[in-house]
Amino acid sequence: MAAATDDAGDSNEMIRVVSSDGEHFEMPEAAANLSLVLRHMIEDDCADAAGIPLAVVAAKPLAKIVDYCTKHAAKSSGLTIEEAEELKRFDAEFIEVDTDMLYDLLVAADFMGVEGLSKLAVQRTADLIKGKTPEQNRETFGIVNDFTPEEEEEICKENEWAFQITKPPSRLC
Amino acid sequence: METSPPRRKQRPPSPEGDPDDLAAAAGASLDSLPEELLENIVSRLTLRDAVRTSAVSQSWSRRWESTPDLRHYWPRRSRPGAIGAALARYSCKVCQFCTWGIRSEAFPHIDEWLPLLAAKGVQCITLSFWDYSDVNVEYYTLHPAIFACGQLTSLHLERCFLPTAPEGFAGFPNLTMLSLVYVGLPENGERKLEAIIRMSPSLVSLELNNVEVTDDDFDSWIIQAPNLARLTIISDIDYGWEIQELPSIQEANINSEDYSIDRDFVRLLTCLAEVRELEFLMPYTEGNALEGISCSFQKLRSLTLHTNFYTASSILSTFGLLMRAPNLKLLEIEITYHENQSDEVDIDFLNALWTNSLFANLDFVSMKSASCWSNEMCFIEFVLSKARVLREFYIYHDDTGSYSKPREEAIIELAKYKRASPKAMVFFRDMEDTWLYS
Repeated sequence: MAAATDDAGDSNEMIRVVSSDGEHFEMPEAAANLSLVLRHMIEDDCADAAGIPLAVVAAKPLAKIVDYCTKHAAKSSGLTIEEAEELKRFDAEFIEVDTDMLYDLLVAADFMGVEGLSKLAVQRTADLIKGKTPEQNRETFGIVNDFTPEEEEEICKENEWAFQITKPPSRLC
Repeated sequence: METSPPRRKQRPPSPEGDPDDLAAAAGASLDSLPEELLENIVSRLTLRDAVRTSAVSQSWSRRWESTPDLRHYWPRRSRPGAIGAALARYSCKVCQFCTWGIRSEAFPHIDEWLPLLAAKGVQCITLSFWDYSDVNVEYYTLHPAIFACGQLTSLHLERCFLPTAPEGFAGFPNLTMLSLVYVGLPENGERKLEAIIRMSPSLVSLELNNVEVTDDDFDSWIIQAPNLARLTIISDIDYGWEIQELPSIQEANINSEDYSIDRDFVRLLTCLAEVRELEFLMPYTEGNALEGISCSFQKLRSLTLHTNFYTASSILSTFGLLMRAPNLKLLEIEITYHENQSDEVDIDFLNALWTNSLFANLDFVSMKSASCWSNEMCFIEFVLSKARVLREFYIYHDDTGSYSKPREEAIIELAKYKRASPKAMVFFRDMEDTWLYS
């Protein structure tokens, strides 16, 4: 977990959250505010020393999310071009995770209402799908092929144009 | 950073939790994710990638069809059958439908696409019939269902005929962008175009680029678009359009090789007085085309003028505009109509037009297709002597014709001109160089 920075917002108060498997985390209030759910809890005075319980977020993804929010809250407004690029680099490295972590982040960011992270994880997943054959996508994402060979052939024939990916786009037909 | 409200309903966090959710989140397959998330992922794909997911598994086989916001982009030479089939299967609203290089064999298919697009609430349509390998192909007349696409926000058509709007056409209430490029209109086309524009009250951007009104004899007609911010009218012939005052106008490009003989240019430019960027082909008239203009172009920062300095009246017309644009920073002049310089003016003639605010903020000037005859040189000398904050003046010499002053002569002369701005630099280039830098 990244160290919380002092310039993370007007409020220096730390917010405690608890993962589904009982681990405690801390982040500055400005970072917690990036989560719609946490923001509402803070506004409703539900943030106390015991920490806000996050029933469906396990410690591993929660550590990442705290890391993400802390980084983004510290660099929130009035970004210089260099800072914006640094944040982009941070995002790119941050989302280089295996598919299990990616699914966890997708679900957790969606649940906690962290919009920036949701977009980042959704885009990462879409990028992994791009340009791949159905078989490659099954392998990447652990999906079982439950088509009969006839069904699969039929589906490919229905939208034949979409499966001709090996041909160069400039080809004249 | 403020988080904006989520697009979906948020579940409240419950301390008890749901063990099923936990198990799902820890699952090893993309399929364990909720349907909404999967749709969100698919909506980020190109149509081709999205359609290809249909062959992954049963649960994926129809997902793309019900994924909102997929953009239907079809590059040149896409198979028309594929376009129609994908459109027919897609069950959501179509936000964008774009296809380029449509060839004649696709024409029968388009008659099927347009009613489908109308039924699917299409918002943006781009249909371009430019096919560079087959330029002689006949113009295709669009299916009247184009007028049933009542949810359109953007419509861009290239090289086709627009049919007559059917009785009861309800307008395009949400249309903000209308762009017609080499589009032909039916009989009384100017009236029909007038009605389409009038019935699109949200229009912000209008481009009429070589729209063909087939009538020889047309009345004047009015472009009624009170919210217009960008207006482009480019055509060989003037087909009688008039504009009203455009209080929100920011960018305008008015360029007709052959304006109507009775066009009122003072009125036209007065309607455009709020522009920030203007491109304008100055008419070739006997007298000063802008005689009596009284408005001021306070917001005008960038001006591209197609004009010349061959007659006193064209110089006066040009100054009629320049003198009323005190905040002009960027001036580009393209010399039009190469012909003899019939009046010769000297620096005193231009000095008599001087006002204190003329060129006061001018930072950059270019003059393209310059013959460097005496009037042009005089203008260059005048600008250099008056523009106090000028930084760059580019002269692109037209050396294709035998009419131009030889470049060596022009350069020697230019070097002698006094510069009011200590930072001013003058660059002399050949016309071919404009290709290099543009």
